[in-house]
Amino acid sequence: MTLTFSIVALLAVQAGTLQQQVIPDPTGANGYEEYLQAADIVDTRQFKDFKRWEASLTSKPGTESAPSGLSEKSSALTRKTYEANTFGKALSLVVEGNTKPTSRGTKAVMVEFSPFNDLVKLGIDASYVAYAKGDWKAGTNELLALLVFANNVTRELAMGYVAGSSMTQRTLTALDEHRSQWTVSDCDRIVKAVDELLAAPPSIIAAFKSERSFQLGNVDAAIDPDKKIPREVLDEKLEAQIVIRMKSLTVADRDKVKTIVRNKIGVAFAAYLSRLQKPEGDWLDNKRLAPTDPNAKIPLATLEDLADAFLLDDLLPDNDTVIPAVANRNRLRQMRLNALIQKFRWQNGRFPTQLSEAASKEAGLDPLTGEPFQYERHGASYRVYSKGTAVTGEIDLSARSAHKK
Amino acid sequence: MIVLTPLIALAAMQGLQTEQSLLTRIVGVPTGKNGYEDYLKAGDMAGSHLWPMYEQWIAYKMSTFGAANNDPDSDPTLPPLPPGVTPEMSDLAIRRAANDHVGGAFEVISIGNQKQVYDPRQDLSASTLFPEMAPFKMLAKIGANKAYVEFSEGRTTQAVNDLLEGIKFSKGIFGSILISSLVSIAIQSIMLAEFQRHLGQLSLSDVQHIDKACQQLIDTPYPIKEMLAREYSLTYNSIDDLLKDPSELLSEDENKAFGATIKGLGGVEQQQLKSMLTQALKSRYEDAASKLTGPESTWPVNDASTDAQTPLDDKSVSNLALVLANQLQGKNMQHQYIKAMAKARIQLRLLQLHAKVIAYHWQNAIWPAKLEDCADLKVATDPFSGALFHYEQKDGAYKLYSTGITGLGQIELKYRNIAAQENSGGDHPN
Repeated sequence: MTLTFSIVALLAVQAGTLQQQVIPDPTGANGYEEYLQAADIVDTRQFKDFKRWEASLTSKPGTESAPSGLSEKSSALTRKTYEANTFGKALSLVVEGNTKPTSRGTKAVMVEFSPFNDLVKLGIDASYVAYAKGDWKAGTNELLALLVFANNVTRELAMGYVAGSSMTQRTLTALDEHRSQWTVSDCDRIVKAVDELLAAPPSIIAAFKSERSFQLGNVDAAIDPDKKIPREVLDEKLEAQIVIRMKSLTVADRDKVKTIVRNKIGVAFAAYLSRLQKPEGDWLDNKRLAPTDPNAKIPLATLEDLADAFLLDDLLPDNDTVIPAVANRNRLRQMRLNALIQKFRWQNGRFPTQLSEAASKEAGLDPLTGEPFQYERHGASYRVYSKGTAVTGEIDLSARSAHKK
Repeated sequence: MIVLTPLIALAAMQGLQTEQSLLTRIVGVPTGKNGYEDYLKAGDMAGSHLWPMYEQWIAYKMSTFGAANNDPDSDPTLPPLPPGVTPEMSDLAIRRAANDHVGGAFEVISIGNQKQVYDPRQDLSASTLFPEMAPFKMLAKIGANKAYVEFSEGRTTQAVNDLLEGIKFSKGIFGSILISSLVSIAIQSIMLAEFQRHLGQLSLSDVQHIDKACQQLIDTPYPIKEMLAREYSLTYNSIDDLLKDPSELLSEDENKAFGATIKGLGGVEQQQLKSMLTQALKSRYEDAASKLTGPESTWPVNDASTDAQTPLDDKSVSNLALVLANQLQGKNMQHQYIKAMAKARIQLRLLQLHAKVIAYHWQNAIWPAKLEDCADLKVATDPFSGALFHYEQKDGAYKLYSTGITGLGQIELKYRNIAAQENSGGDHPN
């Protein structure tokens, strides 16, 4: 994390719109530009004031002034409707961005991910409004658009991967909460959307590749005694040691440290990128790999020790890094199964007695276990989940269901 | 009180077997102003044979064998194929085909609902046929099927409209005689069962519409008094026949003990018996009308009183009158009828409360903590128990029911949020 977030923190104060900061020279052909324009809409004082006021309703009522047309007595639906009406243009931009190829590049300033998260919240609220109005198609489409958006964000660097994974899970939970309202055509659209997402190259591969390029490209900037780079190394003694050691290094030694760091970054990513070429069920080492994070110890006696210190807490891939990708792909499969089960229910007036009645063998297969997904009937409802692995534990589609376990 | 029902029901079924239209047989020349005529037209449009074929196929596809079988030659019990249906079709596809072929009949119901509705037959007797009752019940099933198809396509507004029209239809046919009130209850039950199936799919505007419609239905009194007066008149007109042959009415033991005596009564005694019986019946019908036309809170839903004993060795005229009165309008029948009526009223109130709870959920993104959060006290109160309807949040959704009627257990419509892992039972409202 040293190489990544220290630079982010330094550069995040740059002025201008998010789009100007991240993609200063837009082409019009990159959907990420629309995403950034959308993020600019929620990165405004108006949106933040609205969200602050809304949060204050439960934490500190009366401390923030209500947006025009709203009051403390406004219902959740009224607030969501205001939000969707006032900032809905942002969601149209997301949908437009989804129609194009997307790429953020490796610009070091990473200011868009928090607004992206707000965009997902906005989209979930807008879909809620659509569902409340009985516009099931619009509600489902909104959430499916967010899934595509989140998946595209997941492809961008380690930060995007982390943010996008969270956005994906949040969107899947929201979609699952409206399962009762899915029509037959909703089910078809969900199946199609999930099929497309799963058929595309896994976003984690793109994320690892872009993060590797990003980290390698920033080694020179990070290992430079003349640049004061704020660090997030937790151990102050270690930070002091790094400063002392860096000042004492010759140019040649500094280059050696850079080379060691580059090699370690390359090796770490190569190992996981190789693993990600395998079938999904083999992405995780269920015995856990040895940690790839370097084990830097004071004193930093050797150049290798110093290199390890630089890499300490960095976003190098490890088993835990892969878990969100595995879990979300598994949740996508569960979402597809839910849509197939719901469609089966519409078509046959009952839930399937076995998963195989509603889903093909392929759709019903849990790649993590090599067995069919777990399907349990509970009275007038049912539960689909994965038994997962020793590393992941059970994987459930919705956060709420997981909480219930 | 209910004794004529099976006879009339049989007559109604027999009436179906003739080719002449219901409208022609029952109305003759339509006025265009009576919604009952539209109901009859709808019955004629639906016909008597088509829907049962679809219904049979839907049931067949739901069966274990039907679900797995696409080969018509391999199953000797395969029902005949209705128009537009092939063996490999899903339940939904069959429902769509049924809707395409007979669903239009249900739309005529809503035309009738716009008009004043009354039974076009002015004079009723024990021989009056009610051949429309079975087609009316069938129309309700056609309407529920139509709504199912519409729900599956996301056309919830239309589906809700159809189910509410079905409930209005049930109310429209209520006031003729007892059997029509029972068919009315059955039709409402069919509509509510379909509502129950789709409660989780209703939008805010859907539930607001339901709330308003239920309030109107609850506020508009059912013509119970008029219906009971007609029923009394019908019974009164049949007394002479019953005295000539009481075996159709009496139990085996009673017939053994009193049958010959009744048939052998002299003119004066027979007149005396008729008079006493008429008085007893009139008093009982008036008592029932008085109880059921007051506020629901005064309905004797938990009355456990029984008929006066009628010793088998007492062949006095007064005892004979009591025996016959008990058979024609006994306490047990009255209790059953009142309970059936009360249950139907409770279920309608429950539908309204579901609408309020779901509206609250849409508006606040949480379920109400208690019923009073979404409904005023009057609506939230079970009129038969005087206490609030039972409401609790459960398994990510909620449970709502009444225990206001002794002996009927929990009366409920079940909200099923399939995204929540709730545990609940079958498909019909309790």
